[in-house]
Amino acid sequence: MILHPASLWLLTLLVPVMAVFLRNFRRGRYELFKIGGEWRRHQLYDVYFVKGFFSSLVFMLFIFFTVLSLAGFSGGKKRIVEVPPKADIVFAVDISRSMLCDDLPPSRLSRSLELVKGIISRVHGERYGLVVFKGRGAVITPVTEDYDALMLGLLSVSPSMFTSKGTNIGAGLLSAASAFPGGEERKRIIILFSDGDNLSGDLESALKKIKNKGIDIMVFGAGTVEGRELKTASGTVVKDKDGNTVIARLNRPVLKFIASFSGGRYYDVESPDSLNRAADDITSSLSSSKVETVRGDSYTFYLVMALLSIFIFLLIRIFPWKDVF
Amino acid sequence: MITFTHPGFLLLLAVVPPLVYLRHFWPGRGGRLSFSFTIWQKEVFRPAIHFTRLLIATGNIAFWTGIILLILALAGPELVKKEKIYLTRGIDIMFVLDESPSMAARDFAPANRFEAARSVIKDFVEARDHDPVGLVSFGKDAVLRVPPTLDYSFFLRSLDSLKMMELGNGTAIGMGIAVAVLHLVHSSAREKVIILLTDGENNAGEITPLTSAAIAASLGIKIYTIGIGTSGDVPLEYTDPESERTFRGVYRGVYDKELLSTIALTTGGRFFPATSPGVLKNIISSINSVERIEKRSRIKIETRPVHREIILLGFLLVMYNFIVRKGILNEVV
Repeated sequence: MILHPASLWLLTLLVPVMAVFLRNFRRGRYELFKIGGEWRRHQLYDVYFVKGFFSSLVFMLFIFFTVLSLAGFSGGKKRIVEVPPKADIVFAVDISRSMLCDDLPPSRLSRSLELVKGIISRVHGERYGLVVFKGRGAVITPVTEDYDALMLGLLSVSPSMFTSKGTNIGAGLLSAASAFPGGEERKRIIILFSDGDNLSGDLESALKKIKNKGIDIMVFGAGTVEGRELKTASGTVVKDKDGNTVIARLNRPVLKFIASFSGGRYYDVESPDSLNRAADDITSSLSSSKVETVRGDSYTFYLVMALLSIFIFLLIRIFPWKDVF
Repeated sequence: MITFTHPGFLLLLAVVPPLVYLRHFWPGRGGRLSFSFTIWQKEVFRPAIHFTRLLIATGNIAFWTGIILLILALAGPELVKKEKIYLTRGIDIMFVLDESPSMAARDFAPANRFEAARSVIKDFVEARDHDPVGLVSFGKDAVLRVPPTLDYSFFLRSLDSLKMMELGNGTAIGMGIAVAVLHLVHSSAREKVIILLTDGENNAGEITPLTSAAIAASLGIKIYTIGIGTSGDVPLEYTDPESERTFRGVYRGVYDKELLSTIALTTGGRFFPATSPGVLKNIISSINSVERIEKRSRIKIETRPVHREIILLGFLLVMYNFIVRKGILNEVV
């Protein structure tokens, strides 16, 4: 199995490299006879051809093998990864204005907060934290065993907590990721609540960072695909610059992408069984050890071949052949 | 830190210096053609211009660096991250801090009693290791600022943003303890401790200090009480956070020594009178050293292979040399 198939595109480099070698070979031949003299034309050409041919060949082999070593072939070793039986769970709740839309009555936000409470009451014995985000993220309740503190934190959640604009899910997730205290072997889960509307910021690099930290993300999408008109704090409907009403829709594809990228699942806030499914998924993920394929990376062989090629390339140049050059 | 899985390959590095010598300095090296100027019959060669030589030099350096990197990558470099994993649960420690206006009394240098308390709490938390800490502050009312958490940076941020007088004029010691107890109830810690810092008499709140102390005692929560302040007249200065008006005056008042020692006694803690910042510091550090439990821990080692990054960099450097020599300067063979 190839671990990084995209690296194989580097093999296309072989074409321009070969073209350069051919061009230089032709030009060089012309110069060679001018410098070396017609009288030893034959002898010079033999050396020139042999050296040129082999040095081009081994250089291209060098490229070929290096690219293979970059692609990395996995031997598919398996190992058993024990999942820690306890978890830290951080809820990352979108508090942008669109979360107040009432397509999920009373609002997307209060339905999400109800689900947070539901999860806490269904999954026992874990530690919880609360992060809210808009254009940036902030920790409201640090990760704690104190459920009452979390409930207090939930009470204070509203879009007026920040003035920043937009929905930077990446920033929110990074705030959530930074809220996990170290020093214990616990499964770390972020549960994201958002409608994915009006996105800003670099989501993908945030997701990569979080994945590298071994944090799972579960995603709840709040809202409906049909959407609802966006209202300001004073209740007037927001219009865009052409005078059209702005509709805040549930951006399900983005949210599903976040879940699939991070090895978690996606749930609709709207759907009545999502609480049960999410709670079951958390509990079952904590009670099992899983078998994981690890990279039995066999790049060493290819890299040895690459180095061998480049050494031969050097030696062809270094040692004069037939006392010529 | 970087370690190598196959350090034996590093021996290949020994090949590099001889190769550099053979390639660039050996008199008998190939790649050069001698010829007679009589045959050439054209103008003589001028020495290569400065820029060209510089280009070749960078190409050479890039090439050999690239080769060294490829050899390093062959040795299987791995980034090692060590993390201490605690196997035992720490102690839960809740600070209950008085923020009534009398804490602005300026008998605790350099600023006032409140700042002195804030700084010793900070020192205390920074010296802890994997013990959840929390913060309750009280004036006329009591409020949870930080639930017991291992997120020390959050704790310290909240402590820094704490302002005097936000909870009104009054000293509700009973409420302060009660809120702290409430947020320790669900804790799974075997040992739970409250550290109360106050400078006044209980004069507000629906729950009396002794009632809260009794509840704490029944839940096995230990309370250390620290009375802050000197007796006599003390200059006082504070700014009301709402009206932003600054008040100055002379304050006279003492904490209820008897009450604080009773609270400590009923819960199995201790009462300390703090008459100066130095004494306060000593008290806090003595609590810090007493409230320790044996911790078991192990070191978790995580490795991440980084050979791909290094191969890629080495490859790019070698290709740079190729572009310079073959691409730009049209080197043959």
